[in-house]
Amino acid sequence: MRLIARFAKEQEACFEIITVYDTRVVKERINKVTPALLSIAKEYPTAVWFERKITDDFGIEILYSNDKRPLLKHEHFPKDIYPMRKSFSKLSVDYLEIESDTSVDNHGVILGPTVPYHLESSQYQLFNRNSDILHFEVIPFYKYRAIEKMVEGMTLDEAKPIVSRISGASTVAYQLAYLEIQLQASKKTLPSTLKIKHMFFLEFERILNHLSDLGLMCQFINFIEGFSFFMKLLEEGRETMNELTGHRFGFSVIDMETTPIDLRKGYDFIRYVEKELLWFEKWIKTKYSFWKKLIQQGVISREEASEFGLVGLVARSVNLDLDRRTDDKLYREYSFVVAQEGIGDASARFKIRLTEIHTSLRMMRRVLDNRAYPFFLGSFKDGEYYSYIESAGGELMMYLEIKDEKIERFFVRDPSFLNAQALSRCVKGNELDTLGLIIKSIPLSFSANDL
Amino acid sequence: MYELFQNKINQKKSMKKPQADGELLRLQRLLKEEIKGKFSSRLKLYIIDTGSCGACELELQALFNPLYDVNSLGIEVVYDVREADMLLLTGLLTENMYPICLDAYQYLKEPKHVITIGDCILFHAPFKDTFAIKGQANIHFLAETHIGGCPPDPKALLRGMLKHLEGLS
Repeated sequence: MRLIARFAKEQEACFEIITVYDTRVVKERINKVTPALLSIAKEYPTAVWFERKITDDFGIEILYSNDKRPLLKHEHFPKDIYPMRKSFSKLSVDYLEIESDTSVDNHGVILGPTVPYHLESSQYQLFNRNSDILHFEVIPFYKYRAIEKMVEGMTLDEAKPIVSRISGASTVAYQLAYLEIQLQASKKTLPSTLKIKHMFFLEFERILNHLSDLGLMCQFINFIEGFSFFMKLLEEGRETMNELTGHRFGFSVIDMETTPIDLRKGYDFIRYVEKELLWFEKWIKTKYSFWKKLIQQGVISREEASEFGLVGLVARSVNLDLDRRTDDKLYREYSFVVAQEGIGDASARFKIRLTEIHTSLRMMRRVLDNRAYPFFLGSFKDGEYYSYIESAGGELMMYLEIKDEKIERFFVRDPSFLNAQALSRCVKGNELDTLGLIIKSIPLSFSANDL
Repeated sequence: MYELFQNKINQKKSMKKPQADGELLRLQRLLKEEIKGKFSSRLKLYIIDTGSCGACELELQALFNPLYDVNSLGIEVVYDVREADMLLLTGLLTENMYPICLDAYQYLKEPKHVITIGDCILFHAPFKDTFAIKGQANIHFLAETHIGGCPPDPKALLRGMLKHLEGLS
């Protein structure tokens, strides 16, 4: 079984722990007086972050865990406050005064939260000997905005613009995961014309993310021509997205009142990227100095990827056939094939991104159909709903409990939540100057991770 | 040999700088003049993501692509605030990022140039206040210029930066 997520919610008489595996959902009830939960981190290493978050959110003790450090509550957060409990409704807390950060101490070097490796704020703890990396760890939740708490009590329509802004780079995936829940709650099925249109923009977003990552990977190995090449394509992509949706990121592109996709602009973009990419691939095919810098950097084995339950292209880079799109009837109709590589290093992750861009372009070409008609969701039924979307970074899971047509509990697990935990394995033993490349080769979104 | 030659030609063709429109060319020219006159041709930016969705950062990153090419105007990003001429803040100001911003603000050399970017930082985006959010950044830091948008596109960023530089004596 593969662990997808583990989180808690508060009920009147108890706490409920929901553990989502790929094959089933397990629910446990624990008392509120001395709340304690058995850790599953020995079997599933990535459960550690979920469990540390459960402790911070609800004050539930995790038994038999070897890592009980706070995760989202940083050192200045008052220890006796558990913000996800229903009894906590304050808009401010008295944060503790903390001495200024010491950048070098006995616990390794703290990098960040403003680092060249990542655009978003995030800290890393690095232990090294000379130029070799001994241990490396991500310290997340610098951008913690308490979005789970923010949307509680809102109607689904009120929360929609917030959910679409959780992660700018994956906004289409987040909007689609949310729509999937809205569809389940309103007991409706999306007309195929709309599904096709949404698929077009999900694949478009994937291409933009891959182009950005490929460009930055090139920059970290000082391949400036490659950086310029991908950034140029990315800019064209953002402008096309703007022309098609009125926004460079597509912040409200997933709607019900469909407008046809501009065929000419869509085709022009597809043809342009295809042509440019083919040229680039031909160019770098025999550029050995380029591949030399990627090969055997940040290797993750198939066993490690399975053990950590990694998702997205990180899993696919070690031949794990893990892609939510294969479960989708529409994708199957469009002969979708999962891109896979076997080595699990930065070069494999580079190649997978290139292949996935071609796959996405092929899908987009086939969905360019400007027929559309309006569709309405209607009212939402109370209940619990789960949705899964294959975002550019990997499998995105969203959970929503609706009570009296309002949000009772919102939980989202971005692929970064799992993949960031594997960074320590990826970089161990590598040289310090490859750190940027390895971090960039793994798709991470801290805005979505830190929520 | 022919293929190699053809490849070189294609490489040049594909690496061709994208065409900038009239407004962009004007912005680039004016910015370059301002940076040359007021910052000895090198304007060093220190960017802090105070809790954004990442879109503002991606638009700031786009400024360095071959179209906007702010490198050639003398703009660069530094990772030590003590070297920076200007502090850019993006996103909702979270409680966890506030002490880091405060430190950076203290270390920023005088005169302190601070620009806030995006709708979130002034609470114009659809987010609601929570215990994890410090509040509007302009209450805690003296920011002379704000560049609105969700996110502001690269041209809006250039316009905002130019407005700020033009306002300096």
